[in-house]
Amino acid sequence: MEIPVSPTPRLLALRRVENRWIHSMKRVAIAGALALTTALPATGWAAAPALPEIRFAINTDTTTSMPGNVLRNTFTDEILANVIESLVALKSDLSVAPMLADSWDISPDGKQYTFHLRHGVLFHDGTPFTSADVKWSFDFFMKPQSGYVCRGNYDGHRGPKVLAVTTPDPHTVVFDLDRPSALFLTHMTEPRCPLAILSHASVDKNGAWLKPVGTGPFVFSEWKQGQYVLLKPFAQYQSRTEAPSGLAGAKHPQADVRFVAIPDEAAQVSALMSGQIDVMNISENNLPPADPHWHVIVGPGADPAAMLMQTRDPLLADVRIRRAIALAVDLPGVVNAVSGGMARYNSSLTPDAEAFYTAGDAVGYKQNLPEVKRLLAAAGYAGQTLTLETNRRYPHMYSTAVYMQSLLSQAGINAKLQVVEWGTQVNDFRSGHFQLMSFGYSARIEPALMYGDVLGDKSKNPMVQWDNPKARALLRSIDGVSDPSARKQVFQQLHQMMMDDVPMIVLYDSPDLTLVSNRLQGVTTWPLRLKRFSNVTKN
Amino acid sequence: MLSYIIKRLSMAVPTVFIVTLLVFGMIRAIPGDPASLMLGDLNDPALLQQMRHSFGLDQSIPAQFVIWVSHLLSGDFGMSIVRHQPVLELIRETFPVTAEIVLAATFLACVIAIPAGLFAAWMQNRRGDLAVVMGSIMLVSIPSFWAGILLIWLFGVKLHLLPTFGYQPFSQAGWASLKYLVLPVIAVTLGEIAVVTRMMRASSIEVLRLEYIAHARAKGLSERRVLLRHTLPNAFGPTLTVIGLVLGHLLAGGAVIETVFTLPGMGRLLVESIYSRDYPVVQGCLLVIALLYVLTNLVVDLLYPIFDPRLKL
Repeated sequence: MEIPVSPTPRLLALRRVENRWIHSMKRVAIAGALALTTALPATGWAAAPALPEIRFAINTDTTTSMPGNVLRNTFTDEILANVIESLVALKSDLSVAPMLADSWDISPDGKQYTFHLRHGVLFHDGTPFTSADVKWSFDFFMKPQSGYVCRGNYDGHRGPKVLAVTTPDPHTVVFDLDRPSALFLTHMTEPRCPLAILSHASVDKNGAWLKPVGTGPFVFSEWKQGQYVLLKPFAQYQSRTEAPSGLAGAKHPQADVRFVAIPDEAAQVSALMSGQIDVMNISENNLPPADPHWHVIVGPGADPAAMLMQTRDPLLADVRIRRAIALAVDLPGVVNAVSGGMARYNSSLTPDAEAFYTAGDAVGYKQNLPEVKRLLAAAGYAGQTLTLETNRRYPHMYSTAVYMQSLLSQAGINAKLQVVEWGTQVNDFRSGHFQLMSFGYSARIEPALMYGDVLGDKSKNPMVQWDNPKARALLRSIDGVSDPSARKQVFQQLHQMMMDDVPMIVLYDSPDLTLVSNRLQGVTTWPLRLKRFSNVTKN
Repeated sequence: MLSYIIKRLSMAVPTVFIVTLLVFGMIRAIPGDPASLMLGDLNDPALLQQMRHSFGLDQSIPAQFVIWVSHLLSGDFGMSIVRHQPVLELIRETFPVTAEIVLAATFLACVIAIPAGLFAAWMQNRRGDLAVVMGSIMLVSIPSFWAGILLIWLFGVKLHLLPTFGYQPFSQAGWASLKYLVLPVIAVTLGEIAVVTRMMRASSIEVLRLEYIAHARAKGLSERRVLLRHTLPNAFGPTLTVIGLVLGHLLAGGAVIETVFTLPGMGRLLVESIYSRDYPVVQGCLLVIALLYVLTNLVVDLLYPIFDPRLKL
């Protein structure tokens, strides 16, 4: 039983002090809250959406402003695709279209390209564009100190060697090659290393890089490292007249575009929901709830997601085991689950959005559990554990690995997950130290480039996934063949050979998902996923 | 005093050297290197070799260490591989951002937590104490990144009052720059308040039980005087140690909050550099962090005698 006691004078004094303290704390809290809500909102970011500029969130700031520099990252390409142009440009179906060159002639032996340049084009510094700038730009990129990542495309290492660049007149430029190459024009358009045509003003007197002074629709205006890059519309931009497609065709820059570095995707979503950014790339599993203020644009991609198999591994060296793995899983179901229904199963390294894609590429593996059982028994598989490596940085790779591991186990193939950091996975990929790996290739703009990076001699280069001399010879056979139908035929054969060898299971082309504020009009997607802002407006 | 400072700083030299050795070895023990990460899935062995050569990665690790240390001795922290900027310049750009948030948060936390801890100790086992203890348990249970996300959701997404990301230095934007700091500072402060309050409460309770406090009360001194004149200075010593540790920890590890609020601070620089294997930046940042710990603890030790006259340096 509790006995009530009357408070002592000391306790009463304590309570008085306590009450005073509590009341004064309340006053401080109220005053603080009032100060916060009166002083700050006046200058707060609620006013930010009134700005005409378009804000695009990027995961990482660019590390260089030089096109194709070794320091580049995906966002460098994305920013510079709006600033610089090449003689030719990629269309949405990844075919090549005119840009700074109106037309070109190829000599009968395929070793000379003569480009007829556009008239009236100006650089961002106001100087006119001529053939001398093409030669200057080419020479600049070919110097080792430029750090141009694709010098190999022009010096004979990864393509033909350019023997000479000549300028018979200000509007004609001629490239002489040591051998014919079907990919010469394609290489010029590679987003990671376009053969950008730059003004001399891009470098200082000593040849040191300053900033890109190109002919594109936007001027590279301001770069606050680690924070943002600001592009401003180029008032004197001379647009082409063809319909916009990919990086080709008409471009009409409308508003300033700020590329804001926000590393965390959830923070990007918050920024878009609060109106501080207008557009962002988003992954399948991070889509915000439907809302009248934003929408998602889905488009086909060209980055193949795949499960790699190490053919040098003692267990996986047996093609029957690899084939059993491919047949053990309902691959369209996995793709549907991983992509949230936004991608479809494509077993080919040729993206289904590309002009080279054929019905033959659509032939994939079909789940066949009795055949899996037979193959495993024939190969003498006794439940040995296979390690499936993945990472959490790219959610789709992780989800793919989880689904595959689970479904393989259901089919009697003992697989365990190994989750590593992305840098470790890249290292394992390049050194070949893995058994199974959930991986994603970046897009290549022509199937030959993708097969070229996948095929090779593993004893010399462990990062290649497919070691098949016949396939390599077949790929080499079309080096100088420009005829699209002949190339298509070879790609189809390569696809069939790869399906038989099973060095990897190609799953789908990662879709281009873009979260867009409803204040923007004109945002479109295309397989290479670089955002183009020249025809985008904001209300 | 001066000889004490010199002695402490000289003791830091082997500590910092061991840290540099560990940092240098450990970052290289992580699989992958910046050149292969930059190339990703691009199959160009010749280019890879050329990049490794230009970054100095084709030399033996001891040779790389000797070069790095020799440059360090002349004040050169090296050049960032990924950003192509001097490391010292990167640290000079990013550290003030971290320091601004951490110092503001620590100050705010002290202003709130020290009186709260003292009050709780004075009210031990009563309503006021219970409220403070419960509050600090709640705050210490909330990770700062989660608090940050909640603040972003409330003040940025729902109320549109404050920016959810970004930073502008005071030198450029003046008072307007404060709006970028409000949410990150609150997010960091919440956790700090809890730690400091609990320490302050515990040490105040101990002091309040001592005989000289009873003596002071017996002399008829007011409770305010007992608390402020006799309890606070004697209870503050251990709290100061905790504040020093928290400060050092926050200066070193602000990466999470800097990532949540997209602040260009040193923590974010460090984390991004680890992911991209930007060895010189990682080494430079960790070296600065080690020095910061040493300096923070030194400052705390130097402040001790002010609050506890029994201690002499």
